[in-house]
Amino acid sequence: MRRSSLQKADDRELIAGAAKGDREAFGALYERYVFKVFRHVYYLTSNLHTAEDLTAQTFLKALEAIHRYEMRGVPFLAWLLRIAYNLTVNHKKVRDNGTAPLPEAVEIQGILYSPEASCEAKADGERVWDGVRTLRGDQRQVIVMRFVDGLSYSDIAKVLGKSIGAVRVIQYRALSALRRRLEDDLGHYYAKSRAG
Amino acid sequence: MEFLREGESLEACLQRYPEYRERLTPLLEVALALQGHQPEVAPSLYFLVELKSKLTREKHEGR
Repeated sequence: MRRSSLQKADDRELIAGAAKGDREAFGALYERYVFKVFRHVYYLTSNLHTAEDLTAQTFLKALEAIHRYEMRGVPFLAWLLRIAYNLTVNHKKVRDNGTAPLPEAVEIQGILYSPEASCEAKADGERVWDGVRTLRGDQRQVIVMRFVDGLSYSDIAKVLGKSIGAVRVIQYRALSALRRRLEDDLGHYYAKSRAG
Repeated sequence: MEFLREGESLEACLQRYPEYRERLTPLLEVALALQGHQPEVAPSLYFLVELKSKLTREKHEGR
């Protein structure tokens, strides 16, 4: 397939091509999903280099296994995220119950801010996502898949091998835990949003 | 939660379910904060190019 047609091809065509050994087709899938996989892993690990490493491993494993991917099952992104998730939970820092420290700095829209930066929006974001990073593994995973990856409950359930009801319960518990931990900060946030 | 994702305000979401207002408010506040403050992160260009090259190059090398 030529590059222009690769870019226009839907996932089904690209997956079929990749499964037959067309690496350009796999490359097109990579370009389509690499940022999403990277963001997903980053939000679980809080470390840019670890996220790059696990993203690379995810795509290399996907390349090996793509002939086993079934289009009638989970969406391709969810399939990739399942691979990423399995790799991430096996990673040492996350295996220690997902309590990896915050990164030294957080990159926001291409700009690297130091922890001391006074940007108020960034401070709010850090407080909230700092709370996410302290959640237990499955809760953090569900929050990331809902709020970062934008997956449906159904797709999250498929990735995690749980029922939709179980995913909703995990999300409820995660939000409740976050609420307890962030009560003061969110009171400030909510007051501000109502005023503005 | 879906209405929040579609851009509805917190108050508008709560008005849809007045009977659950007390229970929903704290959870939707958290959801709104999560939704509104996602640090944007991206891998390095070097990483992206290297990995793409590796994934597409291997076709000539076999598995």
